[in-house]
Amino acid sequence: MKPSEDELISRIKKTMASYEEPYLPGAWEKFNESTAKEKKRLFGFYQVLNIAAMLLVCAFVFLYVDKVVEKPKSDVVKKKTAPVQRPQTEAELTPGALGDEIGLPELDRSIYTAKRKSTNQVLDSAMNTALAQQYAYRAVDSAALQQLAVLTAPEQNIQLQNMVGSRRMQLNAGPALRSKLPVPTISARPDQANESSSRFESFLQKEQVMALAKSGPKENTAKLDKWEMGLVVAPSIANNNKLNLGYGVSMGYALSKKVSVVSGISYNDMNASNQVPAAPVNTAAFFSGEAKNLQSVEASVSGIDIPLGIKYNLSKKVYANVGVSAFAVLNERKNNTYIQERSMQTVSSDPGTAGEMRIVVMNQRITEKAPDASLGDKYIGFYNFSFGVKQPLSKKNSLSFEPFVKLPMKETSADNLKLIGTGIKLKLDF
Amino acid sequence: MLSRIHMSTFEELLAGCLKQDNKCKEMIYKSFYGYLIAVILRYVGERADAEELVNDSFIKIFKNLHTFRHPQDPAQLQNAFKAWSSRISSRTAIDFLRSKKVYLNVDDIPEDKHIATPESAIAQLNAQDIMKLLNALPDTHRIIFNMYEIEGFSHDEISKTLDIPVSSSRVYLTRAKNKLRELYSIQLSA
Repeated sequence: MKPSEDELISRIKKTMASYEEPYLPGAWEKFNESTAKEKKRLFGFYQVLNIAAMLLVCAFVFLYVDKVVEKPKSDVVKKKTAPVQRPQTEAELTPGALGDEIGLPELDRSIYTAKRKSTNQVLDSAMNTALAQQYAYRAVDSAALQQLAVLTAPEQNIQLQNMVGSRRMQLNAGPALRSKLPVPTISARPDQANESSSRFESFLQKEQVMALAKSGPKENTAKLDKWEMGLVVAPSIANNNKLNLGYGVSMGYALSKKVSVVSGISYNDMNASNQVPAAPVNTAAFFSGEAKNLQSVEASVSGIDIPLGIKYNLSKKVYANVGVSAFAVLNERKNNTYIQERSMQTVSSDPGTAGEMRIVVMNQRITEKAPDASLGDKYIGFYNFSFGVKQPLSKKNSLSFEPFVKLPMKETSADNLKLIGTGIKLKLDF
Repeated sequence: MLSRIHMSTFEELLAGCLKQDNKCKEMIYKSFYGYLIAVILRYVGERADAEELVNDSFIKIFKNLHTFRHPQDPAQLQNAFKAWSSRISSRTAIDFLRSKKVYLNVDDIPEDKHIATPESAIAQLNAQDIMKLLNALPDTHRIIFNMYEIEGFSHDEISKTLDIPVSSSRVYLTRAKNKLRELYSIQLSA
């Protein structure tokens, strides 16, 4: 009975090869929805990645700017300290304390140390012949070395020669010079050589004058610093994943070191969408080819936003901001998205079911401009929450990165749309 | 009255899917849903599982559509796509079974003797009867029978997919056929 056995298997093969289950209504919608959710999830994932990348860039910028801003400052300090002619006290005149107390840049200090060694070698030989005048010679040494610290290398060589020469003269003069030594003379700096003992007093007077001159403008700038002006660019993402842009000016007044009142004016775009619950399928409408269900409403508004808030400085760089804002609607657009069901006939080309007619239902998404574009409100209130990081760019300018959330005080009166905005405000203060 | 819409050619639909056109995807989905869920149901008994697996299959189909090779004869395009997509679906179903730890035990299987079946009733077998017969087979027998006889996998491919020796695949196929004959005889006598 082998043929019949083969016939059973071939019958199974043939039947199963063309066998189809009936289409389950709503299967495509379910599939489409799940894939859309997956895409949204992926979009969310990429969004998180983008934010992370942005924060990384911001962190890098902060660190980089920190270095750029701080480096020149420290150089200036060092350069300023080196040539300062400070009044010389007795302690400073001793050679041991000299190298430690003069604020020299590292390179200058090493040159100075090397020169000091060679100077000492030269002087030591001279000092062996005049031990009685040791203190006076040390005073000469220290004064000469202090001068060397502020001179360039060629000048130092000349200075050394002059100093050694004058020392020889002192040695030859012997004890007679002792009375003249308290004021050492150095030929390389004649301007200082003739300075009187009243140099210290005159220096103090100059310092006082300079301090007074500086204190005046400081008070003025402190007054000016209470006001803060800035330019703002605020990209944000709405609840329909669309990117909006806002730009304007901001201003603030510092009530105290920690608390400021902030306000400003900006031109903002805002978007919102609202999914409408699925309506029951109208069979009659479907067969007449007119089935059209509203799926979502999407609104876009642009207008002037005037915020008012309190800024609290958590530290010099970090601050938090809470406030409200009034949004005056200048322009508004509204689009409705419909799902239109359309049926079509296809003819099967399978060998088993050739010529069989099949109805395929297709859903078509149509987006139309809403006949009434008005959201129903001319002014919309928002709650604003943000925190920011401020990075000084120069003495007067600073750049702030301020992640923010903008929540509507209430839903719009038409279509219950929530105009939510989340983004990062970039603010340039000056 | 149904409105008649101009139907795109199958090639255009596939091209549309490659361009991520949702309408084209919808057409393909709705046209092949019934066939692919039938393929999956031959492996997986539970309908709920099959519904999820068919969606997984379509995700793979749309994602890998660029790898589908069009046959030389354009008339065979639809059949080639059907065969290609059914293979994706059957593999998806097999992966699912493997994840559920439906172990494919390979034992020493003795050759079964052929069981005779009455010839006259075979022609009256319908799809539902056959599905019942297939569902009565043990998992391994059913999978190998489906893969070889209906989906057209070779024993080599079955061996690699299920990670069993080729000889075992042959033996299981023989046993599956004999079991089907036996079940058919029981069904007839009942």
